[in-house]
Amino acid sequence: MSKLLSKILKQVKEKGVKRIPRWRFILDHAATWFILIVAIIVSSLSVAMIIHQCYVIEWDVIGRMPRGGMAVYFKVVPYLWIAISAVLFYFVYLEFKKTKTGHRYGAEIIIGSTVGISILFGVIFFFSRGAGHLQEKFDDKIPYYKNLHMNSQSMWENPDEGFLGGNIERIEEGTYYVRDFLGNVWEVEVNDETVIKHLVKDEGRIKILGEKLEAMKFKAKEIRPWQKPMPFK
Amino acid sequence: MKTDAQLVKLSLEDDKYFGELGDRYEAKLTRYVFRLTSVDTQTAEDILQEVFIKVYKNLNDYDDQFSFSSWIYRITHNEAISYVRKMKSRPQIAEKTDDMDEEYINLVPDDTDVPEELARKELAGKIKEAVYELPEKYREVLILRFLEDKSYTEISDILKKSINSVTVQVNRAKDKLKKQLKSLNI
Repeated sequence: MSKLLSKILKQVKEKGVKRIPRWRFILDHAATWFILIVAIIVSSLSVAMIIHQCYVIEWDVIGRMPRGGMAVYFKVVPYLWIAISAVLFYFVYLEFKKTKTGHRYGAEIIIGSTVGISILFGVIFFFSRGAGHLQEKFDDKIPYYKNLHMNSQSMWENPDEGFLGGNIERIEEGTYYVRDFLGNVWEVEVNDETVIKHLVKDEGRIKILGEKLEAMKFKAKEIRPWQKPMPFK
Repeated sequence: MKTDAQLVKLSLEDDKYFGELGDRYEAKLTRYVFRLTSVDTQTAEDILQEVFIKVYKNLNDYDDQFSFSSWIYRITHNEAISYVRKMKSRPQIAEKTDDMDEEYINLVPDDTDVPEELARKELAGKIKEAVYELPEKYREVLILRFLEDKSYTEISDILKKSINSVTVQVNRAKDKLKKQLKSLNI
């Protein structure tokens, strides 16, 4: 044994230098992977929210929305969730670099894979309606969250412009009685020319395109279910 | 002869095997510290002492699916760079040019006309200076690739960079060194 090594082992003995136990390293590595998995789950949820917010937009009528025009197309971009996703993708990249072999991969592979996995699970979460439920929860529980996205409710609180939304109170002789989000009950005229989308039921929340006839009276050109049906259904 | 991985396992039970493992790497790592930092002998020994204490403490973290050499080189690299940064100066070329300098001749292309003994030593010194003029990220890959003879995978594991990054940096380092040497009329 060389002089240096003997000196080191003597120092180790004299100073009582202890080896870090194996379980500490196992715990460290496990913690890194746990954080990575959680970050990927959250980024997948974030992607699902982006898909959901883009999907629920009524693209065929959005241009006609009050205070619409080109500006409304900018309003519908889910900026919050895009920002959250971007931050999470970068965070996953930094965490993955800390794993044992993480350094061997370039940024494009790590971030590309993270985006791919997030999109895959995001799509699954979207189709399971999880994103929709989450959106409703956030709208109800998080203050000002509604202001951050093109809110369905606000879009359909414009009867003067021909957009009315609310819950079906009752249907009498073909006339719908709909309570809007401000609590007012509207008498909605329906005739043979009214298009009623097949998923509209006799109760629940609906969206009505048409024109306001007078106070609390509305003529429906089209009635849609509140929840857009999932794609491919 | 026992492999590094076997010695590591035995070292966890008996320190005498740690001594054997250390003996295997002491000379290599000393040379590496000199190449990386160009510090004097005493300082190199101090750095190496820190390295081996760190290796001792963290031996349970060694994973035998990787090369032990890359693992210990990584610790050495970090300690040496840490020391240099603490000193907050460029590596100072030790005034005494020792036998190790001649190896810098290996960094010039094979077809270069390398002069006789004295001029050779002078040339080696100039090349070494040119290497130390390079930014740290280029200097370290050149040293690992051409003086320590490490593969790209090993360099990747030592520097914790992707293999692509290492390849790019080696090529850029060679280009920069060529330019430096040209400016010195070499």
